[in-house]
Amino acid sequence: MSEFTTKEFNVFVAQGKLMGNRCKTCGELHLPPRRICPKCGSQQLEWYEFRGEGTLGAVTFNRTASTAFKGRCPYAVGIVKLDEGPSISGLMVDEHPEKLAVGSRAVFTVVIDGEKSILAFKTL
Amino acid sequence: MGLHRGVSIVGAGMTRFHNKLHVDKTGRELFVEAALDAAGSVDNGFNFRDANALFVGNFTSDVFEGQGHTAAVIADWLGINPTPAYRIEDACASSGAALNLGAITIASGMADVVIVGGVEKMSRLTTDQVTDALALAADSSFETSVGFTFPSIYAAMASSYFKKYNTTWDQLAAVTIKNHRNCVLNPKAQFQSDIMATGKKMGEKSGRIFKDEMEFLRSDLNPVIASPLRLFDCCPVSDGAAAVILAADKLAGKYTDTPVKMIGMGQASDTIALHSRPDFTTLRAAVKASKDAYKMAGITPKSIQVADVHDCFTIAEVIATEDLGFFPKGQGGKAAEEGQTALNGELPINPDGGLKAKGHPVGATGVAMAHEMFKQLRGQAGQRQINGAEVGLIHNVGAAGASVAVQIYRRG
Repeated sequence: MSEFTTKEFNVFVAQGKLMGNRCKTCGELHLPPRRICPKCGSQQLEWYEFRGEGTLGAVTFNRTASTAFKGRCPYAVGIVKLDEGPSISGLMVDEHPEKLAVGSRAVFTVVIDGEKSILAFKTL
Repeated sequence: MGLHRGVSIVGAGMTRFHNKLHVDKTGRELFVEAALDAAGSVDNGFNFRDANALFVGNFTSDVFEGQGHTAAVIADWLGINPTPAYRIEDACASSGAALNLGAITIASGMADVVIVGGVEKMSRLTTDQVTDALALAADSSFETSVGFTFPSIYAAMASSYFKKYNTTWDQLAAVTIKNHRNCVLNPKAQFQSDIMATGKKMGEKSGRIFKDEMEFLRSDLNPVIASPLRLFDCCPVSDGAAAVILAADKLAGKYTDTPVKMIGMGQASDTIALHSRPDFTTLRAAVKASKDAYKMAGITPKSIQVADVHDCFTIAEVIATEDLGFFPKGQGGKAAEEGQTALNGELPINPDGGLKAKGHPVGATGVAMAHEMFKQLRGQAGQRQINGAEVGLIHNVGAAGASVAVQIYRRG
């Protein structure tokens, strides 16, 4: 299977898959995928597909975007703690912004932005 | 672990931190100005050629000024070639890390005297360009790629902190008000007015009068940058430089009768992305670096009489005062609100105005904190002097805590 690179991770995101990896030695899950397990130091890892559901651990409405996100301002961005353990940052896209609060349930989705596919979440 | 021989600061200097004053100067010129100020502060005089090495903390003069190889540029402009010159980059903790490495170099015996400084010339770029440049210190692949910027990363921490400890933005505003009160007493600070005066001045333009600081800080004149953080929760864009002269303890007496001894140090790293950490309401690297520094100094947080902490955003100061062991978790904001961290409080935090009000030329900040300790612990801090302060701590954070440098100083 493919290498644990950012490029591969992004190819999966574009396919609507949230792919990390699992350490075959200690069982720890990692997202994004890594070459070396930071928990036990093992280099024996395998791809793992996350279900994509979790709980918002942190969220903000950003009004000072970087150049690449200027057109979206204001937008929400947050960190979702997935049910399997690891957390990941994502753009928050939601039709109900009032639901965007720490503790809300969220699910992985993808936002297409020209050539790019942005890792995103929406609340449930 | 510890230093095999003691290290002291024998001189410290800095430029004024400002966003307009230095527009026509380059980073190297700012550094030379700070170094001359440091040399001038050495009681028995100091010649740059006495230094055996130069350490320069700088985040990204490459982007900010179109100039790389910063340490070599500065060694040349200080006139100290062929003295070895090293550039240290740990984002906003660059010069805090440079201080640690300067001290380690003296302790190793490879040098007796070193110049350690930091510089950042940020004002050449537009605010948008500065936002992009600072975002380089976050995780480009997994944080900025989904829309995070620095204000929004710290805002995310604040959202998590408020939820966990059931606190509100009002406690953050207390940090803003306190640090702006302090900056008025620091002629080197970027801002020179407290929040009441700032609100009066800004309100006049639209014919509004604010009854107190909170009314102004809650108004649209203090817009939301990344909720819950507003403009006055964020440090400004600044130009500036700071420099100190470190000497082996056995040589310090040649330069001054009152050196300021580095009695403890720590440096730690953490995951580059905030999301990879189990708790967004603490910086593990700050906890670890300070624990190591306390251990080396043989003291506890209770012995600290003054501290400069990395308040790039108000929430960062609240978290810092907890990570450093000054207050229990969840109580840092309350401590600020109650005035415990004010200049006349039990533990004054950021007497110089902090990053918030003194300014934050990122690469210069760690050494500027050491400059403040040099002044405070020698009783030379003027109107903001904390009477009788003998032991102080500095806490310099890179980005969202992926690098942290801590030092503890005591009057020699």
